Amino acid sequence: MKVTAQPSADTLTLLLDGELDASSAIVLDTELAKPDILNFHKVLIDCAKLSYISSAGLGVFISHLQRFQDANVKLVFFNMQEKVFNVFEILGLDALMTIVPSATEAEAA
Amino acid sequence: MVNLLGLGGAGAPQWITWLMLAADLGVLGLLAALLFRPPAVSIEKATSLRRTEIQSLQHLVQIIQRGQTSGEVYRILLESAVQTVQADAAWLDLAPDHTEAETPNATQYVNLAPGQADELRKLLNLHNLPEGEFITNDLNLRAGFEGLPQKFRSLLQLPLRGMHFTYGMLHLLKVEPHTFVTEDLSVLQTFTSQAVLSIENLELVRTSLANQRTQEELKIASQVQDSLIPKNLPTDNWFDISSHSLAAKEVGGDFYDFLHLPGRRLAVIIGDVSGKGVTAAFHMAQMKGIFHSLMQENPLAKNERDKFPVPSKFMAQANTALIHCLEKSSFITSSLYIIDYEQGGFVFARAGHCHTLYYHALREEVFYFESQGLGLGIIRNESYEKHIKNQFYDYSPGDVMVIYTDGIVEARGGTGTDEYGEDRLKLRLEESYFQEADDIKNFILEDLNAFTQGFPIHDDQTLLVIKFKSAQPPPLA
Repeated sequence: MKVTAQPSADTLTLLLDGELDASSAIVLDTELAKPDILNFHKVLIDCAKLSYISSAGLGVFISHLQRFQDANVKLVFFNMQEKVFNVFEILGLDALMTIVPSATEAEAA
Repeated sequence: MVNLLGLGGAGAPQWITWLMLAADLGVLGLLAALLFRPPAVSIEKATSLRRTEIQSLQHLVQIIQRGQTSGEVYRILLESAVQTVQADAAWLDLAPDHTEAETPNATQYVNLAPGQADELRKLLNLHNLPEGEFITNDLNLRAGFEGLPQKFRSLLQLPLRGMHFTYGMLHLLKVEPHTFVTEDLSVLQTFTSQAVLSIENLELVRTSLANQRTQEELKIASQVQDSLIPKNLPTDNWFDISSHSLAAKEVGGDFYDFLHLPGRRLAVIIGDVSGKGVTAAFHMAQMKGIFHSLMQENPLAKNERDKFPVPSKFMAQANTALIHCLEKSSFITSSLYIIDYEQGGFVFARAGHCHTLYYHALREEVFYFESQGLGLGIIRNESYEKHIKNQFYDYSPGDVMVIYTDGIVEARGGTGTDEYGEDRLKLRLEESYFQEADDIKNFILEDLNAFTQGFPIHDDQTLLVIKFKSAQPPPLA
């Protein structure tokens, strides 16, 4: 699992590459836990290369959800593979988080 | 020498023989002096010293085998060291204990008051003397030691070095100046390395005992958890239930349970705590407790149907109960079904749990229920209630309900990244719906095992099969 951060003026894009499970969840958590991240208006998660997400991986996003909301930082997922989207959907997270098809919609969100 | 004596005895006067013998002894004495220098000791003394060393060493070795405490090993080391080099006093400083298991060992003294050791220790630190092994035979002449009120003139210092850790520092003292020799250091080093070996062995034993204890405790936890899983499945003539559960580790986070409610109703719950192992097992037990306490009859209820919470209400209450004890990154998925035989229907709520697989006998169709519902512990306030819905469904005899956790559909096989999947599970039910609940379950498990062959189970697996029977309910009195 590789996490690449691409900051721009008011948006931070995180590219996830690989499987997000209990062992790699720490890498992502470190990235999301950075205090500076709340200075951005939007945090976009590019899931194009995210091939798998376990409950520990979902837990990372869940644990930061409230913090992002409180700081008025919008969390947007895009380019999600169907298999990964299913995991979000089964847990009911699709109703709670913004998941859009592509980068264009993510930037507009 | 015997030959020489013999020759002397045969061909020379008696005194020559004696002279030669004396010369021989003189050479021997010189040799002995050269071999055991300095100080020049007699053969007996050297032998006795060597014997003491060997005995002390044997003593140390025996300590290991008897598996005594590190404190005793240090004491034996100190005593053996003092005895071997005939020191007048000694002390052994021990490093703060680097393991959690045993209480730290205190400094040990021989013929020395702790205050005296303090005084020397302070001076040794102050005057930058070497930190490792060294000998000083004129302590009173060293800079900083001039005013030392103590009588000791010779000092030998030797660290107790292990592979990764220095266990302590040995100090030996003699009143006489110039009495320690470098050979003393090498002899004592044999002792200290033996002692360190003993200490490290004791630690190994301790660690392995601790591991063994952890294993034992996990075994108990596993037994306790096993007792939380219902062994006697509910039976009645209107349904047939079969269950399977397997934890990936000693303890797991999957759970299911049943409860008969009055009026020919049955509550069935299934759940999956995120994560594995002991933490998940604790929450699993907690969830079982929540199920049994919330599914109590409410005597204040105005009508029969309100006596027990409907599934969505149950989930909202469970969510509130879990807010304070579930770690931020943990959540629980669960589905609760209340099956009502009198009405021939059931109501359920899905809190982020896997979709229910269903065989509809009249339509001869297998499908997944598509319903919305958020997992527990994700939203930690009252607004959770908006995210959970009840779904009502009428069943017919012959219908089959398959309830499971993601350990089943996410089980890996094939190339190692392939998942068993909902589609394959659906196909198996299409092929087996006409069988008894037990046979349907076994049919699915056999296929699952064939799929995952050669791959370790990485998540807990639970599978429940409920088949509705055509039996008529006996008329209620």
